[in-house]
Amino acid sequence: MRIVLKGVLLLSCLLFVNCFGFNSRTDDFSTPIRNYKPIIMNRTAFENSIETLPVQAVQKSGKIYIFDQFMFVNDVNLGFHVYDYSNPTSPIAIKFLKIPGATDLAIRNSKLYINQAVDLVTMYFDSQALTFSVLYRNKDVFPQKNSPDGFQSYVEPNDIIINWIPN
Amino acid sequence: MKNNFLFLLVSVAFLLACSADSTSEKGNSDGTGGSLAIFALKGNYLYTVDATSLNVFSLINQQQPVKVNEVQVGFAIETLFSYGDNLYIGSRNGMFIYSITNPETPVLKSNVQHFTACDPVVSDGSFSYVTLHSNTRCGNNTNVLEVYDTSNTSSPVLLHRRNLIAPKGLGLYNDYLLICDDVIKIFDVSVPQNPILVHSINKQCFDVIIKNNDLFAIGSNGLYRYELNPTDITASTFKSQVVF
Repeated sequence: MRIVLKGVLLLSCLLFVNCFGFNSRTDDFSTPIRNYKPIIMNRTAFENSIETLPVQAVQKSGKIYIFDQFMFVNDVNLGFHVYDYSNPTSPIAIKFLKIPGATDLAIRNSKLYINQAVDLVTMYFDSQALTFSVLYRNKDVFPQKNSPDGFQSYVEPNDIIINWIPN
Repeated sequence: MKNNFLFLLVSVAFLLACSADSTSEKGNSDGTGGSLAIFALKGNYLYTVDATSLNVFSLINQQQPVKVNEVQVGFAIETLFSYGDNLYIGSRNGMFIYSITNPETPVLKSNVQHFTACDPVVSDGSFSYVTLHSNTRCGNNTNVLEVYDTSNTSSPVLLHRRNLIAPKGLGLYNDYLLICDDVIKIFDVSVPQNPILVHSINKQCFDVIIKNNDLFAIGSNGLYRYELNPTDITASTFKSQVVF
């Protein structure tokens, strides 16, 4: 079963080769033309990058998450827009939680668990004061982000890829 | 007579109190994500998937998660769905089912393979529903809904497969399956091997959350809220939207 699985995965890898953009415009494969470039932060700036900000426009909507009457809408690799849905017919934008590199969250008992790029960040949401605070950080528990077209980028130790943008 | 009435009142109060967020057996109040989620809370654990792995974090101290395991699943892992004692993982080349009967040691029960598509999966334990949509960078043209019998997690059986336009996020509501396609399509799946379209909502979304009778649909252009009608799905009503 394991051998079959490995065989199928190998076959899938080979089939995938033409997904990784070996560009016919270049003759040698050592310098493929890249469609995206990484946005990088050093760890100190990265760990200090979380802020609660006033409402702002949505750049690129991502996944949604509900906790009590609050709706969290991810802005891909930027943070979360927070809405109060106490009135189903009238959602109110209340805050933007800026957290570069974040795409997902889970909430238990007002504790937020967020993937900030390579780290898992635990935060506390005070639903009365509408404030967010960082409780804990598990560092380097997730891999660096790949580009939308599946490329990796080498980064120095203590540098973190928080986003990829078109080249 | 009076005691019966009092008992009834207290019972109703309890039922109403429990209708807020999902309350796990340990008395936790957990939020709800959509089918594209990569995080799942179950028992005292947070499960996450990244591009290749399933990660297990212990939440015995909810303020300080501790990573306790990392299981290599495959590659191009995309989504995670939790139901009962199983995790359903969607990847770009297949669906994996893991048992978390031993919560810190996920065990692979089965996987179903397909090629070069992007798929979220939702399950009610007995039946699992997967959408695959073509990805222009891979040049594939698969846009499909698949229905599996997963009552035996070691041996999923494909029951149904059909072509849609570009299906993405999906969700279950009673006997209905809602799919983000070119519009929101609502299928009656009381006979899972034979989904039948009964209603559609003209909104474009890539994922949905269905919680009690509320439908939230997220798309590139907005966030839409509908109230689903449990006795007549076609009588579901628009409540509000946020336009981006």
